Amino acid sequence: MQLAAIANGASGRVCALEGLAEVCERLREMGIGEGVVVKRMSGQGTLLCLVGHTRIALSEQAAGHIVVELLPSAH
Amino acid sequence: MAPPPHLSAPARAPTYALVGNPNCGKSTLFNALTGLKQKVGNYPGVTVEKKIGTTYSQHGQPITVIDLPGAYSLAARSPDEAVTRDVLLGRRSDTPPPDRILCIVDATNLERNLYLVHQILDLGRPVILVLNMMDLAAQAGLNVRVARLEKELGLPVIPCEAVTGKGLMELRLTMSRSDLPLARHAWNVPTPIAPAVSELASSLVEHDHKLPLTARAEALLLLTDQDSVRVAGSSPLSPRTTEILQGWQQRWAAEGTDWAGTLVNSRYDAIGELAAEVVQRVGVAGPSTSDRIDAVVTHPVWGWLVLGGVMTLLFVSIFTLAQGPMDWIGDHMAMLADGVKAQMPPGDLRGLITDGAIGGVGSIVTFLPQILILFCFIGLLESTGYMARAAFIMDRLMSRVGLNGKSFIPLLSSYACAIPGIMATRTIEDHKDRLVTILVAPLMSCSARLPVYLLMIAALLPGDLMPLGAKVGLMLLMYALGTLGAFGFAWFFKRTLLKGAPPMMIMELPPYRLPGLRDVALQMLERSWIFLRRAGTVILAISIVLWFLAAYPKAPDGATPTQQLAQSFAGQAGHLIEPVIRPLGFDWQIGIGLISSFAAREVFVSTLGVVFNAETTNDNTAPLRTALLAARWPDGRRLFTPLVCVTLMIFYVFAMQCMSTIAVVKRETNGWKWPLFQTLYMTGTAWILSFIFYQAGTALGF
Amino acid sequence: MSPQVQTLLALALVALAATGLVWRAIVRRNHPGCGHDCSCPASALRPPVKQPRRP
Repeated sequence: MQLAAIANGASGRVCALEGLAEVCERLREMGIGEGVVVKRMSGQGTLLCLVGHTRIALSEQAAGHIVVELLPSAH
Repeated sequence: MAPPPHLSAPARAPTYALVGNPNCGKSTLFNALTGLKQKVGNYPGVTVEKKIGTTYSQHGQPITVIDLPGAYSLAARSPDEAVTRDVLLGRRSDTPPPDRILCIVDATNLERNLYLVHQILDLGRPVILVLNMMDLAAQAGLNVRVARLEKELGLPVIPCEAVTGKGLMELRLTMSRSDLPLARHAWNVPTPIAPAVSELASSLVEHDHKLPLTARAEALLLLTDQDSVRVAGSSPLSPRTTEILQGWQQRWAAEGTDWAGTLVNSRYDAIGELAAEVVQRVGVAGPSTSDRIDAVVTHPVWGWLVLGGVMTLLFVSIFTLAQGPMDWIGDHMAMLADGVKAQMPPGDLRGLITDGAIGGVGSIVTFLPQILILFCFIGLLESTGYMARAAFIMDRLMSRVGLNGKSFIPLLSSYACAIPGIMATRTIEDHKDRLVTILVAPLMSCSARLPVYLLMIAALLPGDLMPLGAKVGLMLLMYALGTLGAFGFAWFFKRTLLKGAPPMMIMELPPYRLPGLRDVALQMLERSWIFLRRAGTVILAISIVLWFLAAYPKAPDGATPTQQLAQSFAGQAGHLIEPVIRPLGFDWQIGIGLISSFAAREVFVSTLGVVFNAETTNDNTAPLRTALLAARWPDGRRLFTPLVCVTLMIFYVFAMQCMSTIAVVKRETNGWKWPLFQTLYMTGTAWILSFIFYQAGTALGF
Repeated sequence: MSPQVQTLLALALVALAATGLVWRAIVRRNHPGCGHDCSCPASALRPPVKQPRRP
């Protein structure tokens, strides 16, 4: 599923990056590569995500490049 | 061929380049190392700031440090990152490649930060790794094993807290070492692209005269760069190398393999292994302070309220806090002029000193407190990390007009001055988005318009009859008008002239920090110095010339001051444009102000100072506001009616009247096309809107 | 100070100011910087002096 489809507060593991090559490369360089856990913090449309200890803001289109699998919540 | 300088025993102290991700504390470290010994300039051809500072070794020898713009990767996406890449690769003839590199990384986020370090190690130069924010890492439950990292990478690693200055001694000691080891950089290029790398590297050595060590790094970069950002001042590749590069790129495109992605991943794999050994997680940290603040500040509802509150606070403080110092400066300027008048007999020199120099410069210097408050606020927003949150909040709104949240930062900075605003656009990746942001940035009301607004509001709402709220409200209205105009034109340009891809934002939000008060103070000091120097040089000269233009040619003896002004050079110019501005309710005296504003907007105020003080005959310097209220049309009507004051403000909101901005835009866009277009569309809009407003107001009987 | 002397001095100052402005414009044309205004503090950096090649 797409990153935009998971709820605020949920986490997902990145399965693949799809779309424009340069956007994918930049996402990888920012630390969002395959296998990385991304936690969606807040936002509608524009998302605020936690990757490791970094907060990254992703606009709707950028987030559309990220395909994740939903991780069961810690609770 | 002579050996390159950094391989021969250096007779001089080596030059260091300071490199790191954005938000890793690079500027703080640079300020801590160099203090006031900094020179800020520009890389020729691009508006990227070039900061060079001097620090001292343990023996007191000067060491030069170049602060390079923050970058996530050497594969540059923006002009900013392109400069960093070009300096490190020795592609810029204006900046020799540094001998050694100081890599600063954020210890709380080691893995991501090491990516850039990994690319830099490819360059084969001595590197010192500075682990910044060790305190924050400890708070976050991370234990970074410095000794282990040092051993794995084979280079000096200095833990440090740039904000408090901890670790700086050790860093200076290491920087003074004459022998720095080269990193043990055990990283193999993925086998399938190795032949391409070696072929390209040897061509770079042979045809582009690169050093063998940097050639490999550059070859890797060229092969994986999707859309290489070229900036002015960067030397191009030789035809032969370009040919080889295109050959390989075509081959891979035909095979359908994404080598760029593979290469990034393989670097991350190597870094991941390293980080797993070096970083230990000690316990689980709960939500950090930043998380708790973000829960409110990036909230869909609260976030907007906070942003609105911050902006309101900004404008209210401009009015209230600055009032005292402004009155003080104004009173002293008036006292100074009266003092001169008491000491000197009437004559041209006295007129020049009091009406020209003191009148002109004084009316500008009065606004120093407000401009300082504005710059202080913007400095605080940046250094606390709130600016990025504002961009996040604004992203959705910005995407409606076709820009992304990152464009909001330049626009917000343009409230202070369009020039830093336009310079801040260098972080915007998309060329068209960047151009649109540059085109609309001067519509955000800059601090130079502040004096004009304030004077007009003072003339409009005289005395203490009007509550502060009305003044602030009117001021906010002007700012809102400019902002709306900027958004409206951005929307229009993105749909017509500069159609482009939908906006895309990938932006890191830095953790919240207590503002570095020293940094903010340093910046304010610098701004006031620039402002005062400008007032003391350019504006002084313009005021003197204007005084001459208003005082000559002399009218026959016995002429009233008004007759004198009317037949002076300035008066003639004002009369010349009066037909154009008459429909806006402006007379030739305001016309003189409008013409002089094209040098810089704030000159309007000093021009009015010169123009209207010329009419006061007594020996007391009447405050400008009173002089304006006394101004009349020849038929006795008041000149500065409320309608005219507001019309004038509207004109200033939209008109492009700043030579410096035009010069910067010209250089940014590499030609006269865009600055000319910008001047025409802005000034045209200003005239049309003022015309509509004034005529409608007149028709309604105001 | 007589009015004539004042006029002379004033005109000299005006000439000085005008020369200064023109000179500034020429310098700026030859060394296009960022305008040296709002955000370009300190003196603009001249292109660095070429390092002499060591033998």
